[in-house]
Amino acid sequence: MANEVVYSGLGDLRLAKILNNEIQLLLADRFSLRTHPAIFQAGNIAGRGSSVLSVPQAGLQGFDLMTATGGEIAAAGNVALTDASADITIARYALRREISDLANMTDSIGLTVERLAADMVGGYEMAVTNAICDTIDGFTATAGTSGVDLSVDDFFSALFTLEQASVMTPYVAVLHPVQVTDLQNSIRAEGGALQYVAATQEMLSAKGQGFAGSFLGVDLFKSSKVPTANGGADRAGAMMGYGAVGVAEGSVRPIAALGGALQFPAGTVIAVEYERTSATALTAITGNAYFGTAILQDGMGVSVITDS
Amino acid sequence: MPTDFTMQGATPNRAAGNSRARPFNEPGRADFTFKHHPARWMEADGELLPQLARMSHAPGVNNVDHFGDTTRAEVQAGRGGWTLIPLETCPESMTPDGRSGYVRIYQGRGPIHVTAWESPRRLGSRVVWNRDEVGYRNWLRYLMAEGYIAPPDPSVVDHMRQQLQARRDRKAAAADLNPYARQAVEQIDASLERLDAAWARVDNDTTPAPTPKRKRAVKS
Repeated sequence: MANEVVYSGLGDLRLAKILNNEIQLLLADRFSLRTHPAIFQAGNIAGRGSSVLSVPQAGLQGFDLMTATGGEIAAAGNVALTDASADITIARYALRREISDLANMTDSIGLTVERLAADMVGGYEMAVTNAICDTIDGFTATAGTSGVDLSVDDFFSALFTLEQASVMTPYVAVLHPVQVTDLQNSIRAEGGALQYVAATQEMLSAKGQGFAGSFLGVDLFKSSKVPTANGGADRAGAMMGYGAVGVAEGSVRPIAALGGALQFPAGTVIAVEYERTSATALTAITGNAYFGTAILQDGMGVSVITDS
Repeated sequence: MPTDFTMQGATPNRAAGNSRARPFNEPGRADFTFKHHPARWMEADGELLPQLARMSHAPGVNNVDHFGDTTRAEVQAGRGGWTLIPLETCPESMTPDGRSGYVRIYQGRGPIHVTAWESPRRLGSRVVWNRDEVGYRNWLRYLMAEGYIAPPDPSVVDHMRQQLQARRDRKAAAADLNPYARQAVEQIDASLERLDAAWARVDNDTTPAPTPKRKRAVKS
């Protein structure tokens, strides 16, 4: 036998390797907290005269009680109006990619100029989520013990702190993945009434990214962007109510002279532009976005600091 | 042009090319300044130590502006009762690498700002963080001893005790049937004892100030 057609003999007719038709995303935390109902949306700062947005706070609608006047014709005294404010300062964030014509032309998997432009949305969402996670470390109230795994008791402790302060729902907890699994582990040992609640059972199932279920009426999110604490030994997640943290954005004003060159993908505040360098056959894609996050009311949140 | 055979070929300098430190496969973390609030304390091994938080220097976070100016953030923190802990509060004798300041920067997918008591090392393609908890706590003691942070208010300790007591009550209700709960009650009792002992030390003002170890400074 001779002259069989075998793979190893087809040097010019086979390829060393081919690309799959679909790009597999590299593992990364892609969950976005930006639009959760517990995050106060302070709106768009564009055209309002400053890069700092002040959120006015006033003691109205029951903050001050009516008091007995002490007589039929006794004069009622003026009651001072309690007021406060919290500022949110926006800053510019950007993401830029540059691709050559040859790279764009030979693409067979969808890595094109358009795909790189669409990537700006994900980059923006993660930047905002990262900023929110950076913000929530700084609540005055804390729950949990340094160097000790997060337990159901710590979760209760944070929840009770919010309830005792009459913080408005919905509550949201943003925890590091290690904190979430520690909580799951603690739930396994729970007995009594808690073990029969459906949410308790649900909490034990495997969790992917982002929303990890609802436990004791608190929406639970896990994010690897939750910062470290206590010299890196712990992670500082948080549980908070509506209005504890606010986000403000700023959208670039459309410029008529540019025609359609300035694009805003999917109705976001991200301004995406293309830049062509003909001498080098390169196309640059730049996304610019403006946002800021801040704690608006310290009493509405609890930092959950436990072992990681 | 005549060929010149006297020219010597250059030798590849591979060592120089490979000696460049590869960045760690970790996302960047923003610079920070530590801050402390009088209500934030923790009990650690029978001691009451301040639980610091970070004031991030990331633009757009808690009023840091787009130039990275933290003035407004500092004012807001001060209004909220926080005390900022400047880098100068950490002398070289308090850090594992013998350099002053409590922030260290490593190169990852962006600059990674961490405390002086954290250091990364490679484990294959992974990054493992070494943590010097003892050193960090020594610095917290130093901050108290030097007066940067005032001792805790009794109400704070009362609140911590109440939290532990509430936890104990909850576990005690199930301790008859649930061995985990019984074990937890014993642990909480031990925590309560440690907290009382820690408070007694503060109350009697007998906390020994850590003696800074004299270390040789690292040449920069």
